[in-house]
Amino acid sequence: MAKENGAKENGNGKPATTTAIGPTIIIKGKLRSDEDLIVKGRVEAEISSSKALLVENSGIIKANIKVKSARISGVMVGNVVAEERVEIAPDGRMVGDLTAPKIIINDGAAFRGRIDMQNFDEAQDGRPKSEPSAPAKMPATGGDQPSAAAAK
Amino acid sequence: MDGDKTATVLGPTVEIEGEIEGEEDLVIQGRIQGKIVSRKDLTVDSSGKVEASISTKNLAVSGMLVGNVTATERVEVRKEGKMVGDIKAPRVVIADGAKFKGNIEMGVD
Repeated sequence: MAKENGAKENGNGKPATTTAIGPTIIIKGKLRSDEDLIVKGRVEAEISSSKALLVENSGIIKANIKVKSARISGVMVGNVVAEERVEIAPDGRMVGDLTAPKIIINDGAAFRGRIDMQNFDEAQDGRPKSEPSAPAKMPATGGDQPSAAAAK
Repeated sequence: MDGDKTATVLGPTVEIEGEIEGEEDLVIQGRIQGKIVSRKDLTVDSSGKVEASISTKNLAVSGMLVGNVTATERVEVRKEGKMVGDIKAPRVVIADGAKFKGNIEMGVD
């Protein structure tokens, strides 16, 4: 399907194709993809992708998304479920819930919402050392939940 | 608004159901269903499958397009292109080998 035209490499063999959604583009509805996505415009479409998502500085996403990994340098409003990791860059702003095994929030980033690192319990089992500190943290996150829920 | 030659290419694995709006060139290699509004050039590449009503400046179809098109300048169905739908544009080109079914209105006075 992708062999003869603009796609430089076959999408099957190498993840060479990337779709960049330019700054003036607005997409509404639903978006599915099996290639890396770079969002510089505005996407109000549910995204489901088996590859990485990059929300650039000028990019705005207002929808729930499901991806392999995401890096947010722009604005993200909605819930994110990632198979691998989510990173909010120093200039990124996000409101919504995050679910991923690896989550990085950089210094300077703005975030409001819940975080669920699915392997949290396993990590605790693996390292009993962290147990004393974990119960202390749990009520704190529990305390955040009402405010996050109230914000919706 | 002009000069800056940015283009958005929606790759072959990208599927969109809904609306796309833009003020830059748009190349579609995947599947789109819904509505496209562009103020620049729109290209449906040979791997592209579009089922949408389209409003644009220029349109070139090398892939498959089902839907009505209104263009302010030009519509071209290229030799490998297939289109079903109505075209409304001042200039329309249907290349040798292209497949087309629908009405064409060039606004002849």
